[in-house]
Amino acid sequence: MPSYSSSLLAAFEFASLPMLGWLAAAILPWLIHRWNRRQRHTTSWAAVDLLLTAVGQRSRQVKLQQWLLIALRTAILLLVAMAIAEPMLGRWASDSSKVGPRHTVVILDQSYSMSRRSQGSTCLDRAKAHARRLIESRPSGDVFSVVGWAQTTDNVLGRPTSDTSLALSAIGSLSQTEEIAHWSLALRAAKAALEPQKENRPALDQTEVVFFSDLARNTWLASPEEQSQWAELAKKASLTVVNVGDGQQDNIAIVDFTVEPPLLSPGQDVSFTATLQSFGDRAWENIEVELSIDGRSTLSQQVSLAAGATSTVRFRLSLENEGPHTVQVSIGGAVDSFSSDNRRWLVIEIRPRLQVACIAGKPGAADDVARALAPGKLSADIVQTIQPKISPVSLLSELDLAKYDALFLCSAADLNQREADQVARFVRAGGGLAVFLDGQTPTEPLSQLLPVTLHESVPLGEYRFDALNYTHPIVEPFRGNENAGLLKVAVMKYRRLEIKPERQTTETVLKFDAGDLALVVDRLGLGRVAVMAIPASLAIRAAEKNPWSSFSVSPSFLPVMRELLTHLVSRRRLESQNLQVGQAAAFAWDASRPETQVTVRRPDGAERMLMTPAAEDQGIILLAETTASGIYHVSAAGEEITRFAVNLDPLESDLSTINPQELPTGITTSTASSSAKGRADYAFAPSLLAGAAICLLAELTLACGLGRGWQ
Amino acid sequence: MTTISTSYLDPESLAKLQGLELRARYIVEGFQSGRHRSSHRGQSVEFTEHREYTTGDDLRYVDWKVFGKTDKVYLKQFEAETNLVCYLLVDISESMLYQSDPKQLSKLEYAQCLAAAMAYVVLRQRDSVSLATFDDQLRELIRESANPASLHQLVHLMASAEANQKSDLGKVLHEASSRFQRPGVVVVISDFLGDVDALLLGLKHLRYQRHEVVLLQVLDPAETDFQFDSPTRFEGLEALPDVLVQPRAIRQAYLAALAEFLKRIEAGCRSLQADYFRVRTDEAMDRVLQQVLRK
Repeated sequence: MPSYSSSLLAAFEFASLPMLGWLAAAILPWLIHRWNRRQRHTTSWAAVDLLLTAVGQRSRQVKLQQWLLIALRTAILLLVAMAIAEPMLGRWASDSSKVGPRHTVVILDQSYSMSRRSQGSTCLDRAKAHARRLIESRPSGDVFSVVGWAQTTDNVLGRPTSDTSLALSAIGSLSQTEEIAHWSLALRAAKAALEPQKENRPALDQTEVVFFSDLARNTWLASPEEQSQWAELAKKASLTVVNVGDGQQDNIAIVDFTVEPPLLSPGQDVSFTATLQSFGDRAWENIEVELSIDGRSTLSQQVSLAAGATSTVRFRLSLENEGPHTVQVSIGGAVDSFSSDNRRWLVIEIRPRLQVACIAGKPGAADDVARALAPGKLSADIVQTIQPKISPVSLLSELDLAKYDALFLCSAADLNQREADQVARFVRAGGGLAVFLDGQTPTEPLSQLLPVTLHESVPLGEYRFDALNYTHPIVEPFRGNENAGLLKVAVMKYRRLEIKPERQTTETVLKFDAGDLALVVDRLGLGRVAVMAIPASLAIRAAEKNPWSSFSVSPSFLPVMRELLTHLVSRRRLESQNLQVGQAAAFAWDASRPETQVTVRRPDGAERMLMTPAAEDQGIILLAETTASGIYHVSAAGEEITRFAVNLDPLESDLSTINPQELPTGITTSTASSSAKGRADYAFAPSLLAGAAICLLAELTLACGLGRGWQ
Repeated sequence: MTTISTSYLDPESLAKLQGLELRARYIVEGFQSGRHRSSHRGQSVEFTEHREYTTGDDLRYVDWKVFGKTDKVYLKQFEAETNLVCYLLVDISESMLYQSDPKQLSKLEYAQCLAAAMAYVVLRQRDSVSLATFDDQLRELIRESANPASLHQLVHLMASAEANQKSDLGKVLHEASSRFQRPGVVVVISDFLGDVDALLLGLKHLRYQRHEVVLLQVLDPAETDFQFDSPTRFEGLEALPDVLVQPRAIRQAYLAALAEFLKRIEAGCRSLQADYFRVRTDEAMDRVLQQVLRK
């Protein structure tokens, strides 16, 4: 069994130790020299005095030259033998001569760039082979931790073990994922893996962390400030990265796949856009991009990409059938050796209409919103698509919110606990909530739902919206359409909002020119919540004299309301049904259903049962393990409840590797790549071969010179 | 006269010939083809001195006039009995056995061939030849003779020489100086791998005795080029130690040492007005002879 050298040439590690047998060949020059001396000719000679004179002059020089030649020939054989033994210069190897047990943390990169295949083996295969050899080479008494590293890290053994077979088995259990990896997770995992050793075992003087990775640039690149985070770990343990990459950097990938508009109704024109990117130095000609809907190939286009370029392919079509559809875009044929990122999926849903409950806290408070959502006279499809229903706040508790897609609370902040709970359940199950504020202070239950803290109204004045460069999707349509009047809306008064410190996901859509928040959006459960600092109508309360703003009657009100609804409902729904690998999938469960389990069928066909939530729970089923890309189907009693698409994070499609000099100080690199057959092409081997070539050249020159009788 | 192609005179061809005398004839015939045969000139017998009679001396040379006046028996000595006396000194030490290529001649064989060929030439010119073999001392000596039949005796002497001793050229040349009474041409054929200073002292002695001295240094191509590739154990001849070396590594140093060594011999010869020739055993011998005899 090949094993790493622990004593021989302690500074090196050899991937093909048996090849070191050829080192014995280094004795050949000396043997040949001895044999030649034995195979000498014999002749009688008269001019012995002259010969002795000549020998006396040249004896030392000749001996020196002969030994120099032998040394050169020996060096040639040694270097060649070492080169074919696939040496790797590693910190752990150099440490092997030290006395005392050692704790080695083996961290294997399982990210999907490690799945690329060359010469019959993947990078992960090579990483596992090298890790095994590393463990096998260690003396008894050493302890090991084995960590799988991708979007999450998994310390397979839990605690360090001195059982080599257990460690080897742990390495074998690590499988390829389709996740990305980031150095920060590896750092955290390494720190965590070294901790138990201090607690549960006698302190080991030597600790080391060996990362087996393809050194993907996006995985390892850290800013100088971030690199300092490694310093603490480097003080505790020696850090080595073994490069198991194959050096291949050319790759083409579909890095994005979107649908417009996100709000889809039957017969509506739909545009699917796939973004292709070329990585590396290769240009790609006539790449066929194919669109399939529900497994049927529908459209295809050809595209060419220059090296490093990005290109978009747009497919336009109309979908008639209501319900969920699976859309796949893929690159036809085996154009590159890394095919995982050559396809992406979308799950879309064609809905005939959206139901919106517009709750008015005072008469007329929701009229403008309802009108904006369903103008009635503008376009037939809009009328058919969005169906707002105005209800006074007093009837809120009687509404069956499960039938609605969104809830607009217009100056209706006075919710009791029951109503607030009803709204909260609705949002957490995936509904959209928009709250338009006026001078009324929201009740505490409602306040808890909102991502912002409400302060007093600002004094009367003239305020304008600040669209923040139209970066948010809700106001993005106004970009270049300044005449639409968004920035000219007259605001005389508004509630000052402040994002709650604990909310990390709150997005600011609009601000006032005074710098205060005007419109913010945040997530809550599966749904979204929007809060606007002004009312959605001109209606005023009894104590007030003037309306707060002219927004509800401005031309920009309609597009903002419609985009708000799209964002709250359709985009959120698209988001929840189209995930990236590693993202948790969540979907609402109708508590009235009798089933206690749902079945999740993964893209590879494997099925997993999930318990349905109890009726008193929030009604959300969570699937955390979206480790594979493709379509996941969720069904109960044979009926599909939902489906979602999981796509690769395109970060790992960039196969460029980080320069070892860019790695944090304290991390040494060892470059190696090998096939499944064990043949390796080490970056170190060429140096040895170059050394052998130099020795060969020197030998030839010296031997030739001696042949000519150099003095 | 039989014309022999000079291609037969290259050392490899000669090595195929059995018998030193035959080799000598081939060399000289090849060398002299195309040359005018030198005519025999009359001898000049000129009295120089007397010496006391000893038992065995030829009574024909007793000076009866002196005997009549002094009642003592003296022999008359003459200036020269021939035009030239050529003393051939051939190194038969162990180092001369070295032969890098079995198809070629060893240094000793090459030296013997040269000596035989020179003797043959000298005798054909009615001059006298004396031959001595040596290693660390004079081993065999054939006194000077102008009789062509003595060639056979010379050849036999060289062929029967056993090379297994060290050489000591200084000592040998001193000894030769005292043995070679008549001034003549002393041709020393050797690899001269030894003490240069002693060699030069010996040469000085010979020159003092009014001998003309010719040094023929015979070296193997391997000794001059040192073209060895693989590690080699050089087993020292003449009781020298063995040396294991990587030849390619020390080749330049060896060649530099050899050049310095040869330079010293050459400079010494020049200062003593001795002729010096360096030959390799893969060189055609007739050209060597031509070069030497032209002097």
